[in-house]
Amino acid sequence: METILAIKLKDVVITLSDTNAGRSIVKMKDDEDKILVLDQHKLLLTSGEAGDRIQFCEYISKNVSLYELRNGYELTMNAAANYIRNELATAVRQSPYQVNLILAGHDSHDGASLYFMDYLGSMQKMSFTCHGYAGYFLLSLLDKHWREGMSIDEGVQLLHMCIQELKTRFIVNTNYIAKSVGAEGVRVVPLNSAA
Amino acid sequence: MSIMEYNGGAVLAMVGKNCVAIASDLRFGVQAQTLSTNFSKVFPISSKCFLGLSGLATDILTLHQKLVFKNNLYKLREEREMSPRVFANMVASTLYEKRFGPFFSEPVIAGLEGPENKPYITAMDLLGAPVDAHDFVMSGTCTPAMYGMCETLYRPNLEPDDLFETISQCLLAAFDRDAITGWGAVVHILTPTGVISRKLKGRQD
Repeated sequence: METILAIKLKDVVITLSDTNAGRSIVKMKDDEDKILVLDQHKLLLTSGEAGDRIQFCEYISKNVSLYELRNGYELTMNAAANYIRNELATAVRQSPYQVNLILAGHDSHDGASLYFMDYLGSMQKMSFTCHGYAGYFLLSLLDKHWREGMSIDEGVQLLHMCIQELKTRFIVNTNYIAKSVGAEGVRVVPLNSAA
Repeated sequence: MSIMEYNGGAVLAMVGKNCVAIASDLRFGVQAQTLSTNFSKVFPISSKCFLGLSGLATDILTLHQKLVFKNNLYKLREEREMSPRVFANMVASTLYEKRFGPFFSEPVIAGLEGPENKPYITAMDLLGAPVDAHDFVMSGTCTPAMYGMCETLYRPNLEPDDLFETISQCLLAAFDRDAITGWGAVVHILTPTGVISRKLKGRQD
């Protein structure tokens, strides 16, 4: 199960995902970008069944773009999160999308925010969260080190702590990619292994 | 593994003297893993009616959205608030509509009925079979523990402050006996003059 995580900082949400794409014991690709840029101020991190992931992401992404085209402004974070949740909840009793997601973003209404969603359609607004096996290693680490209103530098430091923990104790060896989203938009966060 | 025990959680409601209390835990988790400690399972419908939902988290959210939607439509059409008894009936119908593919959620409704603000509580199972009680109702994963506590500590005609103490002790003790419930609690006391909401800390495990 893939690692995806997001941490809310002061006015910015920083996100991390692994770059592994594989089947069973074979690593097919090690530079897969699982952090989808939904629109200028939203990131959608997905983990789960390969086909469902891509199909669901594209479906959501196009509908979010359509909203912006029709109305002339982006969906708010709360609206986008509830829209995605409702798609998952409607599908779960017919043909479930086996996709777990984190929606991270920024809007003028709530500032930086992040939403955890699972394949059943549970949703919770949180300060930091992970999906997959990473949670077993990182949730307690984040409980200890996360504070309200951290700066981006402190956030990147925290990300490196998380990566180091996974490298030490998690059996799967993989590379990671990090992106941040704030009022100014989406940025790729450089992760130098030296830090 | 039962689907009703996938996320865990509990809701409790109690009747006092001209007041009702409704409370839930704050845990959001998936089986053994706790993900959030801020998931209240009690939702306001009006100032005189609160809805508590336990069970599968996705169905808690879906049911809440459906019921708020139906309540809003009623308010627009009727130009008046729904009474708790009528709302409870609507919840039961909504659940029974899905008789052969139900929502995995068991509601608890607490409110003040009519112009005299008579306390009203009811709970139902996931198919919408209601039970009206005069003292306390609950649903969730630790109902046996809550029944024990409430039966022992409950007295009729408690004032709002005493009712708050009683319901708090009941739920905190019951939560400590259930691994997938707890991580704090929220208690709402509904009185004719307003709603008092308080958060409890409790054991954070």
